[in-house]
Amino acid sequence: MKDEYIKLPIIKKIEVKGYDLFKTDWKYEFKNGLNLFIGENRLGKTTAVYIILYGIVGLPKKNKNFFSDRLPQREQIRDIKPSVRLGFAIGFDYIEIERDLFTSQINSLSINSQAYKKDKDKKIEETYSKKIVRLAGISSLNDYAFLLENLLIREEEGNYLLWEPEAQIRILRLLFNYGKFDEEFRKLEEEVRKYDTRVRGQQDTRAQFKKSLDAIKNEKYAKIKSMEELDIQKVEKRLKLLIKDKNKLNSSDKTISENINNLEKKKKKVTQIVHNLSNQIEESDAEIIGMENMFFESAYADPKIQLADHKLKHYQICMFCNQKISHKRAKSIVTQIEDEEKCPVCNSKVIRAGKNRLGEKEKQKLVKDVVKKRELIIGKRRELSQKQKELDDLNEELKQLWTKKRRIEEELEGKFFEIDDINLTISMFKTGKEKELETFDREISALQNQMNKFQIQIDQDKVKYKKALGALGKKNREFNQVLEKMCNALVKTFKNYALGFFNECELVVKERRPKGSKISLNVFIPKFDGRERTFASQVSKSEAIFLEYAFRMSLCDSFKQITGNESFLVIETSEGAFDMSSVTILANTISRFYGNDPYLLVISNLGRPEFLRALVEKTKKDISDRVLNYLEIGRLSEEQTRDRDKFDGILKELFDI
Amino acid sequence: MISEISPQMLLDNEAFKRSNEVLYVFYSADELTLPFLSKIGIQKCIYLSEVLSPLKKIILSFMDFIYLHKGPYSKDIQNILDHLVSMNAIEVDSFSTHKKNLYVNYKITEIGESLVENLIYDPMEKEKLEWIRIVMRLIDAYKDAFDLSQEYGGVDKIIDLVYQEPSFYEIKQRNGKGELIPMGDKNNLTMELIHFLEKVEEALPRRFNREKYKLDWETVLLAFFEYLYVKYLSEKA
Repeated sequence: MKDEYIKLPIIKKIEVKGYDLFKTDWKYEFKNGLNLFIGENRLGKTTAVYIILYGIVGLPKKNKNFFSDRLPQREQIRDIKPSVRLGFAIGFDYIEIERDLFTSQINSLSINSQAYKKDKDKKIEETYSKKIVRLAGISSLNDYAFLLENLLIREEEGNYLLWEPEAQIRILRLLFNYGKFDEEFRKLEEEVRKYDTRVRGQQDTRAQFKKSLDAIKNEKYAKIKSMEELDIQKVEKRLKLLIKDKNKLNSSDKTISENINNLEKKKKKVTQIVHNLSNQIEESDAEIIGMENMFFESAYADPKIQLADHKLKHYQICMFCNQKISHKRAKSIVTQIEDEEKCPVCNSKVIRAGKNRLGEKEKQKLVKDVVKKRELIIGKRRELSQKQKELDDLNEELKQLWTKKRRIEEELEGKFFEIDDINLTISMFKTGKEKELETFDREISALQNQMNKFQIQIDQDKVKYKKALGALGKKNREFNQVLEKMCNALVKTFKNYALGFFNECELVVKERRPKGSKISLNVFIPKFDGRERTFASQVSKSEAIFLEYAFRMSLCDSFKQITGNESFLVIETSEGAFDMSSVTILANTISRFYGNDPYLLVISNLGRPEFLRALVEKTKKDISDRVLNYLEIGRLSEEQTRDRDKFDGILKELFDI
Repeated sequence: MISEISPQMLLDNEAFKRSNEVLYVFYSADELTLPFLSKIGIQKCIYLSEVLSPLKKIILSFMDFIYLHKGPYSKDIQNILDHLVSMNAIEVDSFSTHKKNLYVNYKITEIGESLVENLIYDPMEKEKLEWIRIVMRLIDAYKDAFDLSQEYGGVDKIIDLVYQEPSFYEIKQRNGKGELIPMGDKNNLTMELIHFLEKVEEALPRRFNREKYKLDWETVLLAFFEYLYVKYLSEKA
């Protein structure tokens, strides 16, 4: 089992249908050696890379709208569901898979001619995953996703394995060890991390307890000190004084309360009197008005008074215009006035004077009564005024007493609190320090116990951590031995590829500790001009790109050399970063790689024909069968359509297509 | 022919009292042999009686005088006049029109006089008549001092004196046409003057025989008229 290396997916064919990013459906069959996808920018070259990647491993959850988002406008999506059909080999086994590009669901699958259909096999996704894992000898489909994203496919602005220790180490573990080694290694790493986190967490908690413990201890010492300094005689003297003050205040409060009660009673009485007097005055006023009215009505009911209706009644002459009117009309108006007692103009009530006319004696009596009543009311008003003043004085007195009472109550409250505090201090003093301090000791002991408990747990976990760390170290040493074995092959291949671009450049092994790792791990870094280049910033852009290609190609070659298994490399070239002479060196280097007939896909645009010319020069096979022309399948912009002839000329010259 | 059952407009207590006060003015004028009182003159006489009444500590019934160019005016007085005419208690002596304005002169009738004589059975009414009588006497005495004024005749000449009444004068200064003249409260300047006089009296030294030297209200009223007249003269000068 240990000698079983993983197998990489070797893409044999690709077929894209119904995807509107492209003008037409298209397909391509890969040949061993060089394969070229040629086109201009924005025609879908990079998308093709992702179609291969996600065709094999499916769309990740965080990027599930990847293919629909790449379309310029949603409404352009046709009814037909876009799909990709990929054929790829894993060792001697052949897999064909068709996925919906938008949902990433598997439509159909065949493994070594055994077909699985989505409708029939509900667990088609699971079947696919399990089969791939078994055939490739990997731990999960994630391993493939990782390999494809980090090694086998290099985008134009892709990552640099040479300067990303974590990714590089994982790639090395996956390629040059038995299939499950990487998973075992990562599990050990996880365990080390877990115990480390746990120990740190427990240490933090223990530190919190320690802090509380120190605080309580300080409080205890402060208490002991204050008890030692307490002058009990002085305190008791103060208490006596306070109690005396309190009693005095209580007595004042009692007297004031009694006074308030008495005054309230008095106030109630006076208020009643005021109320009664007011009522009496009001009643008398009404009576006087009634009597006055009777008197005035009598005076105004003088029969000598001739009213306007006199002329109307006796001479049938209108009182307003002096015109003669009919008897009938005059009688009707007079009847209204006299019988119905209604004013002919406004219908108000009129009184009959004769009825209210008082006799001389009656008049004299009425006036006598009204005068008496007025005198009486004057007396009552005087009395009311006195009582009102009395009431005002009472209210003022009560207000002052209430203010005084509230002040005394506040003072009393203060005394109560002080007495309580002193009593507590004295009782503590009398019951003894020991009893008081017992509470502190109990808390201290409880906290100490907690801390001890945590310490035991920490010690146990520390042992586990050290054990896991030991296992990880052992595993790493085991891997280092593997690296030692393959190191020569890799270093040699790399040196060959680098020659030409550099006078001399080699790979050296260096210990580095990736972020989050508890042990140092061996990684390869380039060295040229006598200096190790540990960081990408230590090389130029073209150097970095060239070294990265060389490293990946070396890894593929070494993989084949050591494991006997095929590899597949996709490079979306960044030839724009190179100058005229070095771009040819780059093309020659890539040519040397495909000279050994591994599957290589180079994706490039037509911007640097000299690069393409140098790249295809070495191939002895018919190049026209190995080119996918994006100008045929992509949606060309106006400018691109205009330049189509120029592009076609280059393609004809280079590839005879 | 006199009807035994004469219909009578129903009046409330306040309306009776107002009616009484107007009758007392006419009654007093008749005693002084003043031939008549005009629409303008009666307003001024009642205003002076009302505004100075705190001097005698009596309460009269007209409160809502407004400021007009021709002096203080209460529409209640005009209503009472019309009502008294309808009862034949007063009668129209003469009238004339001048530029849309109606100039009417009234005088008391026998019926009016009989009414007053009946009303003064009540001592409170008698006290009011006495107050109005002395105010009218002073008006009669002072009216001839304004002979220079050609615009008005008879009692109407008193208008020049009324113009000097402090509360009215204050509104006149700012030409507050239609403004209600404050009566019987702190804002009234005449009241302030009356209170001032009371304080002067209270401030007399103890050794003074207060009863002997107490200022009677007739004297104070006279002093007040003199004060208004002096103000008039100083303004003329």
